[in-house]
Amino acid sequence: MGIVMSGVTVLAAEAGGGTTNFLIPNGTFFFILAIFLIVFAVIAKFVVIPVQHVLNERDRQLTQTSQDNRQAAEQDAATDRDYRQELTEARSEAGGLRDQARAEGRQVIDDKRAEANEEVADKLRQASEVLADQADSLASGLHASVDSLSVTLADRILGVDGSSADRGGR
Amino acid sequence: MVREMVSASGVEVGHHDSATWLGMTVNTDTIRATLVAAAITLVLAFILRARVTSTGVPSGVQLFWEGITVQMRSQIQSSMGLALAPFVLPFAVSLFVFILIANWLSVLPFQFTNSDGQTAELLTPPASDINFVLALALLVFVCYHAAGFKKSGVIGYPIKVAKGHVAFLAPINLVEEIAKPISLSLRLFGNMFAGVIMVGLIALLPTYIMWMPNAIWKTFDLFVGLIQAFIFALLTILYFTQATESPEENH
Repeated sequence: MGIVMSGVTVLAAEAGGGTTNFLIPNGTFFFILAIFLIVFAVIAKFVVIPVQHVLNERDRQLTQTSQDNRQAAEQDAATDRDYRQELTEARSEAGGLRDQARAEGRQVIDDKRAEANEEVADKLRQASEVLADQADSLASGLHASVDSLSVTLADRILGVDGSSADRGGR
Repeated sequence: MVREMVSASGVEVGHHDSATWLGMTVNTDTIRATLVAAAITLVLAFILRARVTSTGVPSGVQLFWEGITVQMRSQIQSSMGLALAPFVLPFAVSLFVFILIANWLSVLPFQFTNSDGQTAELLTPPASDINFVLALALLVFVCYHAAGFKKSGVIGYPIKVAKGHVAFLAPINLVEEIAKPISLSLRLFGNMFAGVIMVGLIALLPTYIMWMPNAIWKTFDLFVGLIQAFIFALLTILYFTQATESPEENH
């Protein structure tokens, strides 16, 4: 086996009673240690750091996405609020306009009705005036002819030409 | 007695192929399996490095690393906050993946009969070698105590460790501190070593029936390897937590 009597092997030989005792460490220890330290260095540098970087990056992206979502939801809510406000304002404005238009319409109708009434009254007044004038003139004309007509009637009844006598008598 | 009987049946416990490198005896089979595990880990790491993406669809390799990192990060967060995470997180991830892949190597069915007529595996799990588990456990031990010294000071930290929650339990606390690396290493060692012995024992069965217990055992071994890797990483995090917690945080 070619054992060199280093300290460790001597111990092993003594403990094993002539043969090497497999429970006593020997030079393999240092080689294993060196191999593990290399593995450790590589993993620390080439695995854990990139993986942590990836995990952090993913966390950051998740946070970013959830933040974006929250922001979008906030904006959506704000827009909705604005929309509703605008809608309410527009509705009240439309209602006001409608009321105003109705009031104006009623005003116009009232004005026109008053105007028409006035015109009707005017026309009636004029017509009654004309009628009264005509009645007056007719009445005065008739009054003027009543005298001669009554004389004529009396003469016809009496059979005399009363007109001349009467005229003479006066 | 038992060991002799088992040996006579063709199972040799705790045998390693060894060689002398840099004046030290090394178990070449353990080194070979560890190198394979490290190579798989590094290939996965470099695939991730080449194809990592934060905006596109992550690849399977990236999901694998991400899943482990997230799991370890949540363990660290729930137990100690993120103050020490820049060190503990890659440490726990490395331990978990490295031990997991090393343990799962044992599932690969590369068995052969060696020159001595014994059934051996080309890739035994490295954790069935005490060197592997001791190297990792002692590294964890040194690192979490270093973190403790850094947090509480050269004088404050030993006092804090000895005192614990109640001063008169100081001897028990000291024993506990010594027990930590031993239990950490031997727990993993025992589980994976048992797996190797089981495979060796199953290999003694006649070939026409051997496949069934072997398949069942290797499936179970997958689960054991996962659990042990997870426990190792989890206990590492907990030891760091205990070493670095502030006294006022004790509840």
